Amino acid sequence: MDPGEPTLGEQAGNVDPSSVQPSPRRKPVTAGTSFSRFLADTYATADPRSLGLFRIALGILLFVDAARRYPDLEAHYANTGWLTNHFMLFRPMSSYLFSLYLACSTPGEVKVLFFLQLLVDLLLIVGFRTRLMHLFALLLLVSLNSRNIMLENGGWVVLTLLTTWSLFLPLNRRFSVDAVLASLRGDRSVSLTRLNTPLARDTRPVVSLAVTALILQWAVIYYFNVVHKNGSQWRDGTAVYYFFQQDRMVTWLGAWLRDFLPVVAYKAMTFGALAIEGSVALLLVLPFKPSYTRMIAWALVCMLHLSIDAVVQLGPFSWAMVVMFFALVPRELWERLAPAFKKRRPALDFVVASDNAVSLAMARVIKRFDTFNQVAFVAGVGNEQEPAAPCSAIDRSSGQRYQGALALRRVAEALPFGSLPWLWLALPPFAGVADRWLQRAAADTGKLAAYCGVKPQPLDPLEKEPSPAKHFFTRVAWVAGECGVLFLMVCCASQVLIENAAVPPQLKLKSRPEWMTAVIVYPRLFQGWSMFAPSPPTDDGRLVIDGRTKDGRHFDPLTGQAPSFDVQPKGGYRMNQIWGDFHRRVAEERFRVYWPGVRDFIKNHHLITDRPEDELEAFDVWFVSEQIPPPGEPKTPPTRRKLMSYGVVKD
Amino acid sequence: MTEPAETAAVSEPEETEPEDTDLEPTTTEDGPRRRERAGFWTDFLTVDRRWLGVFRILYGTLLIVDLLRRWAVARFYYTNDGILPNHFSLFRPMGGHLFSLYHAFSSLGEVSVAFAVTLCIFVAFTLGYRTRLFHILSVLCITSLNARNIFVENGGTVVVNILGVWTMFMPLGSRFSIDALRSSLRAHDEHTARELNDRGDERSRNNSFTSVVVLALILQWSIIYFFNVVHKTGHGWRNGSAIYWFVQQNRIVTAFGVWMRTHMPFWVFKVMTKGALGLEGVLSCILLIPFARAYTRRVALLLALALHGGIASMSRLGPFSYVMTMQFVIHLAGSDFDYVARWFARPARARTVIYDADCGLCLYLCRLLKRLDPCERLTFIGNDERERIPASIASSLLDETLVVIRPDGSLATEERAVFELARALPFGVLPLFWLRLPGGAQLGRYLYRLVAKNRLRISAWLGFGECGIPRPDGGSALEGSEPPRSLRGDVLAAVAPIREGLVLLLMLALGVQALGDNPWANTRIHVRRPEWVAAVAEYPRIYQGWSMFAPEPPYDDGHLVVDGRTEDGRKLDPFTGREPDFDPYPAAGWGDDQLWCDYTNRLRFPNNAPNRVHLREYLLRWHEFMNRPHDRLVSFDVWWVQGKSPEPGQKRGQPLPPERLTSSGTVLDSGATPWLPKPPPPSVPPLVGQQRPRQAPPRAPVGGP
Repeated sequence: MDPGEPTLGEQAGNVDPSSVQPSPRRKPVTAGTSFSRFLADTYATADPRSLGLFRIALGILLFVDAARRYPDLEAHYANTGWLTNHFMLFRPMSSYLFSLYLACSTPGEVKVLFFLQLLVDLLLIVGFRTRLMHLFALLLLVSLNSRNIMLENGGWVVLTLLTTWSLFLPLNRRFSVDAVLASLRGDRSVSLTRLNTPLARDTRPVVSLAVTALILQWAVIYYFNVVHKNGSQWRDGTAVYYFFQQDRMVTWLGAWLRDFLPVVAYKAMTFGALAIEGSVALLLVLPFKPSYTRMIAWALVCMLHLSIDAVVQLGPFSWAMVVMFFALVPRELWERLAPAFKKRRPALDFVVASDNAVSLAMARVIKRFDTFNQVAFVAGVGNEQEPAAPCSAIDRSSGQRYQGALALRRVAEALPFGSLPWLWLALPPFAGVADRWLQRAAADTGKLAAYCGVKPQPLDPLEKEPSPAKHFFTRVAWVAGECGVLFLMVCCASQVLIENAAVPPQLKLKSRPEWMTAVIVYPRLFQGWSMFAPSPPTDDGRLVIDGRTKDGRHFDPLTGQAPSFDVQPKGGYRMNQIWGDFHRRVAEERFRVYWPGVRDFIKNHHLITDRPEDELEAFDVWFVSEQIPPPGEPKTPPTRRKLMSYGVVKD
Repeated sequence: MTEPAETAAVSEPEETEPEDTDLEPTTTEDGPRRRERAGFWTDFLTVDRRWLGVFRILYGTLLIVDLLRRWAVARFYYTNDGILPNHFSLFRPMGGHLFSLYHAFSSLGEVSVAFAVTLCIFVAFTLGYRTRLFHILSVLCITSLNARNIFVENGGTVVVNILGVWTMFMPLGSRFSIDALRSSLRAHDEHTARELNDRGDERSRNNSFTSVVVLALILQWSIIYFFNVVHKTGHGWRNGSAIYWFVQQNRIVTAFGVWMRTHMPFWVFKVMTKGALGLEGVLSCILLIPFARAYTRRVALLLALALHGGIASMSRLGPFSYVMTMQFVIHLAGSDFDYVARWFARPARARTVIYDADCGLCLYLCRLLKRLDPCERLTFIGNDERERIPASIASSLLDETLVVIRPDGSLATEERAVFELARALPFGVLPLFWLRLPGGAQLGRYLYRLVAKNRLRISAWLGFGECGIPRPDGGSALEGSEPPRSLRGDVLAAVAPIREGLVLLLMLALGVQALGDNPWANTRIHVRRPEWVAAVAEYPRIYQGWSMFAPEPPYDDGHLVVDGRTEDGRKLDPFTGREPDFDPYPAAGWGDDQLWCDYTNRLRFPNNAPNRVHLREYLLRWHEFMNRPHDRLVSFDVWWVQGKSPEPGQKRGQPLPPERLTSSGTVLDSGATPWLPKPPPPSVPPLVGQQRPRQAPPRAPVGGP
């Protein structure tokens, strides 16, 4: 593609200043400018297609991360649960705590806001008013996390960081509703010549400090996670063994594997994990051949994190770590993959009825989705007795002609990822309805189009150039955004120096302005990276409610069964990350002040489950824990600690 | 150079904001003929969109003013430093179904951010920018703000909520709004003076809006007045002394009220009491009168102005009076608007504008002026239409400056011309009055010349093009024809029944609520209120109990006094900045605002005793908040100082013993002691042969115990 060709964004008036070509009055190239260009190319540049893909992946991750919490809303996020909003505000678990969810008391109120959050995430995925939805998605993510920060883990923090840094990137330039609408508005031509002229796709690179911030952020995460892992278990290679023994977190696969994996396999995995983490940190910042090194890093990250996620539940951590690399997919990869994609798509001719506005409108929309130019547009001629079909396609290789809904499906197959959203057209009732509508559109040339608001367009209207004022204000907004990134980078850097033990003492900050702390803590952008470091946890535990129902049954409302003080059950505890963190942390002394809330929650648990027969008249809450023995050594007996009671449990 | 005429030739009516769909079919008629056809009931369901636009501006301004007055005291009422921390408000909610977004904000900084966002929302609503969205957000904000601190909620805030909720179903942004302006600019792309002077589209616009919500609003106001009348059964209302007692309330009385009670004879208050009752009674039914509606609506507005203007001039009741009056604006007839517009359309305001037809910026400004000129006082002439321009005006002048011709034929140029244009527009002088101030004219001329000199460059920069090329003949395809049926129109038509259904549901819910909340009704009709009705009424705080100053006017009055001692031993009441004053009968009222009055008045009740601890904590830290370390209180008592209001003809009433609400430390020489009842003397028998020392009786203050 000709790099000088006007881009889609420019045509549409959505000019991204980061992609604006250097002006003709460019300064002469000096060593300084070439070095800064090298830095920008290496550390601050991203492909808009990669950013579009990244947006979809991020949106899906945000949606799934929120949706998985739905079953636990009443227990952990509403006043029916163990942490009421008023107590959270009265005794906040952190300074600078802000959450919109704290305004919601009842489960109904919480659910309204929660569904709003899911809707925002969906709109971010499809790229509708992307920047605004991104901002809302971040606000609601932080709010959801801050509502109950006892459950916060590294995964949540990483996801927040990912959403925050990417807020400064133009994620809507490709693969978004915004881009399609802008393109439709920007180019209204319907002449066959123009329809068959390949659309100038927006491939100009995005240059932004936010890309640098993302790369540095991930390098920092991996670097400190490696250097902090200096405990004996990481050195002797048994760390992953302890990891597998965490019944709270282990998945069914992990529980199955731990029974027969030899120690040598654990050692290989431990050292392998360390090596991968170290390599990724290095590969991310290597200045040579970054397109290769980062893809190698991505492959390593996928290997590491997807295998971690297969055996233990760490919330969104693994996925967030993987998703970031979508933004770093290099331009070369897109260009290499394009022919392979194109090869698998059928080449079609779409017959355009030039006197039918519906047909013309369909042609314009198809053109926007036809990234590989697999669809050509040919004229269809009709008359009053036999109007041209508004939707008709011809397979170029076989010459076969398709009409109506079938033609639509064939066209969809020619478009990248087009078949999936149009699968419903294969179902008989929908296909019939679509066929009827298309026939109506063919017969009723003018009225239906006018009814649908599709206006006949002039054949080749003059394209409207974005005004210099628009250029100027876009540029101003871009500069402001870059200043924002820089400011945030400074704040995060100070946090990195404060939080990480591996930072040399002479670099440690003695003090910093209070507002800088607020900038970090409000959105929970913490920077202490020592997951399972310096040593993996060598103990494990959970809460056991030894309860008695009114009819005398032994009942643990957290499991729904009779209380079991057993540790290391065969398949782990089978609890999700949220409950896992709850069981591990609530017994800690620092959370003692919240125990009355836990007691009330257990007492009223039957109201949440709507099972009055399970109402407890007395219970003891125990924390049952065990020390995990080194590999091959016998188990130690579990220990019990009574945390609180309600009534008297006689037996 | 881009040719703007070419690109702009394609108008985009599909992107224009369509009028909201009414129950009534679209019509371009107005006045008696339309009413006659529309029928009896339609009359109760129809309002004029222009008055809706006026109402939006008034209501939005009220919201902004209300927010600003609260922002000034945000720390005290809305933060965790103040008298009701968010956690306590949630822990011990003062109402059922309590929800407020502001509960999520704890510190002053956070609350200030929330207030700033709220202000932006209110401003956007007032200006009519994305009106429907910002109306919904405004209602969410104002109801949240009121729910954050129910101590300061009163009838006025409830009426603000109610009006906001009902009008959500009305197209408030279809006139006099940025939305309307943008929509019009998109729909009609004028390029010539002829097109600028063509006002046909504006004249043919349908100004009526028909919906059940209009009837709902009428019924709502009738209910308010009706119950407020029938509940006023007390002695004070019957014997005509109620207004007298009303102005004796030092908590709420204004300076004018003080003057009234000092100078007016008692019979005036009697007349006012009966008058107020009469006005309320008339207002409860006047909007329901089925005939001569144009007149009854005008009379209703005048009566409301008289009643509420009187109340507002004598008392501080927050937004109550203003919002009660505002509602009547909605119901004014289109002919009333035309009558008012006639003043703006008088011939003396007519101006002829000669603009630079080659300048894109000038053309765009003329398009804006056309839309800001509903009274059609401006006539546009391009400087290329030499045949229409008086011969006395030299061409060189036209190339240099905008020229405005006054009705007397005199010319105005440069900044004078701009000011003349402003004079022709309704309220146009307000933003440009400074052009006539000393120095303003010079500054205006300098700015005008700067812009005029660079107008072609600015035009190009803004993308208007440097020269306007006349559009090919043909005009708009839809001009003069019936708008065709469209999918969008049908979708909107399908939305209308949903809207009406929601209105009916809300009417039902609030009707049930009204039956339950008002003693007059619930003693006659027993209705069991379902839970969903409670939720509908309580979440947005749209209660329906109407008994203001009923059944009796208040006969006693009170005031919060802090008897504080500073570190250096001074007596200080931090809320007045002076020594504590326990006299319940100040000569000129206490001068407190509505928020303070409502808070203090409610704090004294025993059921609010748990909230007093937060006032104590605030007082312990108030020197930090005010940055006055030398005024730190080491001990204080908080007293509710009260007394019976003075009987007619008296200046002071019977003081009642002050009630101590909360304390910190020990105040040894309490200022309240002289006002407290004397403890009974100890019953110790005198010692035989010992003479008791003679004690002077304590001096009671004037009018004291």
